[in-house]
Amino acid sequence: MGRSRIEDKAYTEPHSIVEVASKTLSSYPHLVSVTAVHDEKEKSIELIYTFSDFRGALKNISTRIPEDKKTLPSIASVAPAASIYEQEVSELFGVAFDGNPFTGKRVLLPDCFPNDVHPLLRNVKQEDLEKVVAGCMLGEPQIYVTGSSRYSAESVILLPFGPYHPALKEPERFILVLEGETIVDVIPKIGHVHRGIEKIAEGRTFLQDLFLVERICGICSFIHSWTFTLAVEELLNVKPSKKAEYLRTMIAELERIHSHVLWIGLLGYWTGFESMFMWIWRLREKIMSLLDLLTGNRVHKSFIAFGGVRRDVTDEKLNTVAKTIAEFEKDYKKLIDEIMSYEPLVERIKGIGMYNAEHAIRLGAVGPMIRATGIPYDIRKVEPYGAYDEIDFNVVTGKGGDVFNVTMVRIKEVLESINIIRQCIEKMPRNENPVPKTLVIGVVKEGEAVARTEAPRGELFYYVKAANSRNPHRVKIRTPTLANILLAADMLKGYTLSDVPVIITSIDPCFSCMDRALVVDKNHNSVFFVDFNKLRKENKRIR
Amino acid sequence: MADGQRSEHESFDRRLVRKSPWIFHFNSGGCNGCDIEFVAALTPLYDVERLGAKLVASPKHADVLVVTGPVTLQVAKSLKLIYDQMPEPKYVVAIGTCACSGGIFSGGYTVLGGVEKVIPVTICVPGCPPNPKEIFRALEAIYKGEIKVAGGGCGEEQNRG
Amino acid sequence: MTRLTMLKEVLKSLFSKPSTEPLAEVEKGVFSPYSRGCPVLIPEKCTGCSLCAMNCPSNAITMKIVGEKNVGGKTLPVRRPEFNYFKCIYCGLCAQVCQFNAIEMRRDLVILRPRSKC
Repeated sequence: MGRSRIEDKAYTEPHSIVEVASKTLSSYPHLVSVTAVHDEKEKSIELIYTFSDFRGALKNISTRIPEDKKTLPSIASVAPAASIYEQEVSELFGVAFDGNPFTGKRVLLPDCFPNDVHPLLRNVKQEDLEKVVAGCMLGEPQIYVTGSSRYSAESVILLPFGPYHPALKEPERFILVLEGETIVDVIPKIGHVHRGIEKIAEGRTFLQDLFLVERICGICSFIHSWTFTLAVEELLNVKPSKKAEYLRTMIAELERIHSHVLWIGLLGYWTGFESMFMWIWRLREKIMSLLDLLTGNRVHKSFIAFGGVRRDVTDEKLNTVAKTIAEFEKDYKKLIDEIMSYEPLVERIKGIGMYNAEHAIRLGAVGPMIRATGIPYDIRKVEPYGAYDEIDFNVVTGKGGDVFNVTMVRIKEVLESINIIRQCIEKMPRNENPVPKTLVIGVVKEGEAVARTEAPRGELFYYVKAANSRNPHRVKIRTPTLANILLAADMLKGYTLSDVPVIITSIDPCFSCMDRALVVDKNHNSVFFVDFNKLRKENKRIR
Repeated sequence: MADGQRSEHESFDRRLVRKSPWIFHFNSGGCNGCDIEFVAALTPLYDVERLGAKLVASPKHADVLVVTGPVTLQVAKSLKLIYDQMPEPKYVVAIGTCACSGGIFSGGYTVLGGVEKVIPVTICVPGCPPNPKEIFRALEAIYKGEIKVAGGGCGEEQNRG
Repeated sequence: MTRLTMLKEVLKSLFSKPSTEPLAEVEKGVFSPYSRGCPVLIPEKCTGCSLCAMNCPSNAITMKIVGEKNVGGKTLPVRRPEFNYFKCIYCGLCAQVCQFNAIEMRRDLVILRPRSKC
């Protein structure tokens, strides 16, 4: 049901993890996440590898390493997608992974962060971290330089793209290795939006965290809080009422429409079709006003509560939703017909950023990216949560991976969402009270739970561990953009510089989601840091 | 707005720069919520562009720096650098609770806090996220010259209106 | 056929209202009639239990000592919550957890009007 309590963890010895992982991958081909949990009492770190197949079955493999000897073989050789997840663990917990392509690089944490502080270890105190933050500001300004052992300066150009670039609305840095106009390699450096949410969450109560996780991302905010709620409800053994389930489903689908429509508008912006951007965003205001009507805010809905929702929705409001959605559908269909019959746009995105299904699975892609290749992997269908099991809808798939197919999948998913909202309004029980008696939940009994949902950008994964306390012991979040970024870096190769904005944005990147985690490149380039004065000297020498 | 009404607000530096506010948008580590509301303010329904406001790609062309999100350690230096590149007189608008004070993320190990810690702020627009109308009004205040360059910031004095 | 659709579109645009909101409308209101609003304390109802401060997701509420009261011969401080509107995320949780309905979410107030200190 989209969520489960972890009860059967297959325990493995640390040295045999690669062998076990490769065996598991043959029946569970999708690596969902690598979670690390620090246990300060037993002085050990537990690593949980979560695998899944494309029909909804989950398998957890666990291994334990002592606190003083934090090394483990990397499984990146059998599952390339693991390289990012392992790098995240290694920076935040200080675990060394033998054979990980990113070993020795700083990808997620700020440059001025000391190397020996691993913030997510339980024994790192808040006061120490505050000292680190204060110390960071006093340091010398640093500037990145990418050096390379593989590329000689004569044959390639290293072009920095970002962190503040007109084509990116969020700060993120990509260093493009160019041969003439053609991209041969991409080195992403992320972490500009890393806010340390997982650590903050450990210091606050479950109820406060509900509002914190919502603010991971402004575009998919509701689905974050819903997934967290699913995991906590599993720990509490609470079931929301039928009406609450339908209301949640309806808000999630409205959010999906708003997210996809926003993306289609931005696609117009990035392909230089600005009137399309304005038209689409004007249309989107209808959905925003509906969200305002139902939840009280246009962006951060704060609508969900453990065991229900926070405010009831009257029949009158539901009628307004039905009416507005019908208007929206008419306008949307007309607008999309106009846009997709405009040939320069279709030419611009067709055949750009090609990839195939096997590629997508290997790099761990999720959401519309994997569905564009024809694999019907949608958590709403394979592991229904909320009211999705009572609703009749189709999983939209494409005919092969490129930007055009991804666009078509998103366009059709909006229509499917409209269909779901309509069914929600029809089937919703009207005489129930979806608001729980109290919002405060107090102490949560010991246990571990995972929850998966289909966010607008793909599969979203939460792991919550409670230890008889008001605060969670550990909250692990794996966001869809993190799973897709390796594919995006790979898609860029072989295309020209002018395709970069279109391809990077085709995965609908949400760096604010991703950066509480991280990303990295998959090549063996070295990225090193020099201070500003040294760089100036180098520059003078060149001149 | 009547002409007489406008001249009432006109200060000396306002008379020096009588032109449309050009905006540079800077995400200092926010959640995207304020960013999409800011972009929504530019689009047809709210249409900040009727004030002559325009989103520009370089800070060197900008009069107004719009900052969204809490300042993280990684971007703090970029923020200072971009602020220094803007020509005088410059205005800084902090959009959203996070940009005003660090908000819900204050206390994180990479979060420095509000924009004020790095650069002076002219107007703070709290809200999570603020409505596009509110963003419109903040920019309008700058356009009409109701606000001087040196900033009021997000101090306690502003707390009650 | 395309000409006909074009003509229809032109005529429709000519006689329909512009989609942009009029300036007066934008300048007037901040909160929509459905929004969660802005928390304001009703001091008469407050008992100073600090439930709101404990549950505030962004720690924007501080309990300030505003006076003293005499309970059974002992002098106890009287506490009242104070909101920091530049830290508040306007989620309305404080009003919902309050047992005495001492926090009102008001939509008519224009507390947040950007002002300069000068």
